[in-house]
Amino acid sequence: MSVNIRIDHARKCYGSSVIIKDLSVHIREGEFFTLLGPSGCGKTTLLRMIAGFNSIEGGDFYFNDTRINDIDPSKRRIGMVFQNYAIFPHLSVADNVMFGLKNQPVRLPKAQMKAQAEKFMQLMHIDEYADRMPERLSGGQQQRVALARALVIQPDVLLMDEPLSNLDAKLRVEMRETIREIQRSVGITTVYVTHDQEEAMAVSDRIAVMNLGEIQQIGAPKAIYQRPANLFVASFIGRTNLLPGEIRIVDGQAELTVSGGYRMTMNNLLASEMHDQKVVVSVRPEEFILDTDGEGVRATVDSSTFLGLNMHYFLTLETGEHVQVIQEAELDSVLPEGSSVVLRMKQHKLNIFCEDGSRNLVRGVINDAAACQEG
Amino acid sequence: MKQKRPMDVWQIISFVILGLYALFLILPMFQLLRNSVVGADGQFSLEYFKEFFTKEYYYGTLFNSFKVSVAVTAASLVLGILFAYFYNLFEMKGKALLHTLAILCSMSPPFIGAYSWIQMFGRGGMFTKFFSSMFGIKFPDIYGFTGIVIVITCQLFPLVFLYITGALRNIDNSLIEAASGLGCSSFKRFFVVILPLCMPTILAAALLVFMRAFADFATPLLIGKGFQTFPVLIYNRYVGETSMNHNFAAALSVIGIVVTAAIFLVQKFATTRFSFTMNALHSIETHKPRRLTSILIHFYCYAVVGIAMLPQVFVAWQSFRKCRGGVFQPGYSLDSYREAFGKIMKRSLPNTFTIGLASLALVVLLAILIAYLVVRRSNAVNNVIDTLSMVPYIIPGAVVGIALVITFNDGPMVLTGTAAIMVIALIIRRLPYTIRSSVAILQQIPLSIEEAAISLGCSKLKAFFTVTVPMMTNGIMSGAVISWITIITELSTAIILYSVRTETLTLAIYTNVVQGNDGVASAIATILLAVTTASLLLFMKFSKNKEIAF
Repeated sequence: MSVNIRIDHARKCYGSSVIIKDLSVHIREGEFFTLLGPSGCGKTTLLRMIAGFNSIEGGDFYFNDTRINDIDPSKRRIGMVFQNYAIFPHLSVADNVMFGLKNQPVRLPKAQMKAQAEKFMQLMHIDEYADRMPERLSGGQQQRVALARALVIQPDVLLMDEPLSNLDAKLRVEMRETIREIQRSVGITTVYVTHDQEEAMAVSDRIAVMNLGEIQQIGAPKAIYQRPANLFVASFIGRTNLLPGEIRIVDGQAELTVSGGYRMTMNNLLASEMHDQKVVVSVRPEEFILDTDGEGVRATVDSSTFLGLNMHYFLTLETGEHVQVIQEAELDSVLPEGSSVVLRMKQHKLNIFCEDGSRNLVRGVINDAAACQEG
Repeated sequence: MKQKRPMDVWQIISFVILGLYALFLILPMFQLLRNSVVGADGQFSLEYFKEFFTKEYYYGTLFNSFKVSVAVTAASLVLGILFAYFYNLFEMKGKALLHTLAILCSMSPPFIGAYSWIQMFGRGGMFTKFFSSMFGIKFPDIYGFTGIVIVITCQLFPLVFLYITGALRNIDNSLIEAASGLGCSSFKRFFVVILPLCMPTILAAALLVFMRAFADFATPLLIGKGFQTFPVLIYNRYVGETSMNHNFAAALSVIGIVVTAAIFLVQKFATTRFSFTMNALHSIETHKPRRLTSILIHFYCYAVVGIAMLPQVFVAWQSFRKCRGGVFQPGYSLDSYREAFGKIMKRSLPNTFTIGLASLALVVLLAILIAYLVVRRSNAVNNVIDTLSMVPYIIPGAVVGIALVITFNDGPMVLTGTAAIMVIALIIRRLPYTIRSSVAILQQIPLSIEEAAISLGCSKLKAFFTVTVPMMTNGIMSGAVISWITIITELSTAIILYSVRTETLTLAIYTNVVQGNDGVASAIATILLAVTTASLLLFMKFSKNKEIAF
């Protein structure tokens, strides 16, 4: 049985240092929910509070309607996958998978336990190693054992703490697809912690971007990437160039001036932000249009890298800022170093933030975090 | 808003252990201190301390002990480090044998060495007689300072060897290669690379050797003759004070603790200056030495181990000689064993096993629990336990005995003369070592393993016993074997606490040595040697990594 998770006004501190001040988040039933953020942002702390391995200094944690704050971790019906897998080295693969079944309050008959373990080992493609000791397994295989062991007890919630960070790049991509697939087929509410934004985008239904113990934005990967709620989210998710700019209201129209003089008329600003102000413009590398002449911001090519599908250009604007531009690689032209170019921007994709970066001024930002905080 | 949680299992364990320490460590130490400052008239007085520091007969023993300890430490370090260096950096024949023999030497019962050396080179000793009658050579006197240093060094340099070997295994071969790539000759490498890298271990080994030499009581008692060391003085005063108050012995004990505590602090300070961590991906490779070097290296290693083994071999040989009325006759027989078994079967042999096994079981259990509290449940109470657990490390064995006698020979809990007090003393003495090794093992086990078990439905205690403890087993076993051997060969505390009912094998050897029953003493000593050797070999056969933790 899957559950929804509701966390209201969670607080975590160690002694006098406050890690999480006041955090609320609602996770839907059966959803793949990712906590994403730089190291030290409190994401693992929050996960371990849900698991019950960290004490809760304040707030309420609910699985459906059951408050779990004071329930022992062994009784929360969670399945947990650890960063270092935490496979029991003194038990065989099969015994590792069976371990949880043997420790459930209601024990199944032996034959049924075996069948259940067998089923999940097959699901994770580790049935052929059933009798092996963990030391003779590769990292990827150990990860599969850890996942099978967590799922076999049919927990209400699956918690994963940076499960892929110890694997090499290729295996990481392979395993994240496996994890996603299994999660879909089992349909279990999953909370996943990672600092890798690409990984988060690949697996998640929704992502909560965290920084300094606070949730910055909650939303689907696409929403977060395209309409980040603030400057932190914009620069943490994907790559972006930040340019200083200014908004001026002329005849009821918002006119944006970027980096020294290039002007655009913006028609997707929030009504409440329609006043003269200094702003920061976030332009992702692929949102630039590179041209050799015409109107735009003047720039010089510093260097370029050919990456097969794309060309990466590193430019210096005439105002002195360094920017990165990605263009689809063409057969003929590679702009030589030192050549002068003109940059224009895909206006509808731009994100514009107020000067301190705390708000996106553009319409269409989806942030579920706001709703949680009020609830 | 803070919620009150019910006491969990580990909190209860914390308090129980704290209670045990209060009763069996803090209270005896307090009683010791109190007794040391009570004069003959029952009033507060520092007369014993005054007497000690004004009479050369007394304070001279402290200097003697220092002389012995410094000499033994220096000699053991030189012999042990050289041995370890040759052993680990060069190809050699019979390495496994050398290693096993070194462990055996370091594990031999402490006073068998002294006894055997006297039997070989003492006034009526076998070799003394043989050489003087055959060649007219007179050996220098084995008694006194020289004898003590030889005997204790023979027993302790193998310890240095084992310690340094462990350290050398942690040095990555690339460090040696880097040094030679930078133009460092093999001779220079030893001093500028290898020795500094081993420094933390060398300091640890030096402390251990110094403490053991300082507290060793049986060796100087047997072979010291007029050269009295501090522990011997404590023992003599204790035995000499026939009345029930042991005030002077208590005062001496307090002085002893202060001295060892000071040494401990100096070593700790020195160690902090040399602390770094290493982990070798590729262990040091051994090299084939040139022919002459090879011969010298082989000669050195086998000679030092041979000399260290000599006393034990000699005692074993002697036990099979014909012996009548304490005098050895030509020819061989098993008479000594017949007589020995008659004497020990009833008491000391069963006592050794019951007292030894009971102590061992409790030591292991307590060490595991305390290690867990210290590593996984760091809080104020457990930090106190951590500190307390290290206190016995610096208390000489005889002092532990005296403190327990003072505390438990009257009042609500009378334990003197019982097996219980022997067990308690052995636990107190052995626990610090076992805790240290258990802590080291536990620190290597990630916490998440236990959390995984809990998330799969185990209670905290069950997770600990079904997952953590089995993972610690291998390490605990190696510690337990060493504990077992030190427990059954312990003498300095037992000699103060034993009664006729609780005599053990070591005490039986000691009494027979004192009574001049050399045949019987040799036979019992050989039996004890056989038990320790068998324990060690059994362990080495079944242990996975063959590492011994001290």
